[in-house]
Amino acid sequence: MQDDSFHNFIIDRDASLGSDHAALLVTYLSPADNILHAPAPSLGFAITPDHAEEWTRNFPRHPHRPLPTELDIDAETELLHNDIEQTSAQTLNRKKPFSPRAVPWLLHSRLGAR
Amino acid sequence: MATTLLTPHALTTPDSKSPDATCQPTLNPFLMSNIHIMSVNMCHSNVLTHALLASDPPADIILIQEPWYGHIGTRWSDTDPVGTNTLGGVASPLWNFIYPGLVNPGTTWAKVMAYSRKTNPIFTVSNCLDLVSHPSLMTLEVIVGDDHFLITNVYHDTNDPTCLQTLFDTEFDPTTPAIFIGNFNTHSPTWSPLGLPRSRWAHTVEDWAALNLLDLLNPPGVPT
Repeated sequence: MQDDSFHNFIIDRDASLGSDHAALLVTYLSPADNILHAPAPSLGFAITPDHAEEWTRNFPRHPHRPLPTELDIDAETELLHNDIEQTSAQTLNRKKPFSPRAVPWLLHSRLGAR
Repeated sequence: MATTLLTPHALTTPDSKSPDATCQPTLNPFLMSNIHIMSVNMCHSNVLTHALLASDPPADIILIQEPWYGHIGTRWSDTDPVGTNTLGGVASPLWNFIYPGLVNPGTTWAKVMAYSRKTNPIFTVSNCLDLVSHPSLMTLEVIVGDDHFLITNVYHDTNDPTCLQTLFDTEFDPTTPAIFIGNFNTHSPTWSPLGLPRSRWAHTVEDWAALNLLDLLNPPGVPT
């Protein structure tokens, strides 16, 4: 064993279910608390002209209604945001995070200097 | 066997005592970062391997030496209408299985295998075939967030010295935490019970361990 990250060593003959060898159990304790991170926030959508017709055809997803009160306006605003998001998700491609591999070779030196 | 099928969970309870336990498991505040590893020689038993995998053992990764490895199907093709028997290990819907490096997975017999629990959410296991490729030897890289470590599963067949030689020839990164676990079939006063004759190749294992700054994890003198 290298390092001191392995602990709780146990020799257990029951766990080997009758094999003539014992089962060995050991626990790896990561030095860092590797709780799963939340996914990165969305980068939005790639809006391109070739998707315009399809996007327009799918929007709005809900018919507009009269807005007599302030609460109705707030609710309609939220609905509108959701409509835009859902229509975009349905018709557009999501933007991808920056990847150095996508940079042309002629710009590599500039990328390194950044 | 039926009794033992009911008892593997006992290992995970802090107040249980295994007769051979050398130290009691302790609860760690970073539960998300604890990875439980089990190593066991299955003596080529299909039944025991199925039982082990189905019994929800207290492990996230299981390393098996002498696994059951046999005919699991037949391959047919236009050029092979009679068919060729294909070899493989025990499969389970709860576990990913990992084979060692085999020249021909269909006809070469694996002497080690590994299983990783499918439902684990915190780590991924990668088989380092670029580092080690041998039917009796496999090195797994376990990646936990930004952290990683290596597990090497060893079965030394005393009739096949190439396993240990491959292990000795492999250069492991000394900065990466690593554990070498398995069935070395090697007796030495350093770890074996008193009175057992020393294996003639034991000094090579001891030299290799010292060269790689390895510590002995199991208590000396306790048979495994």
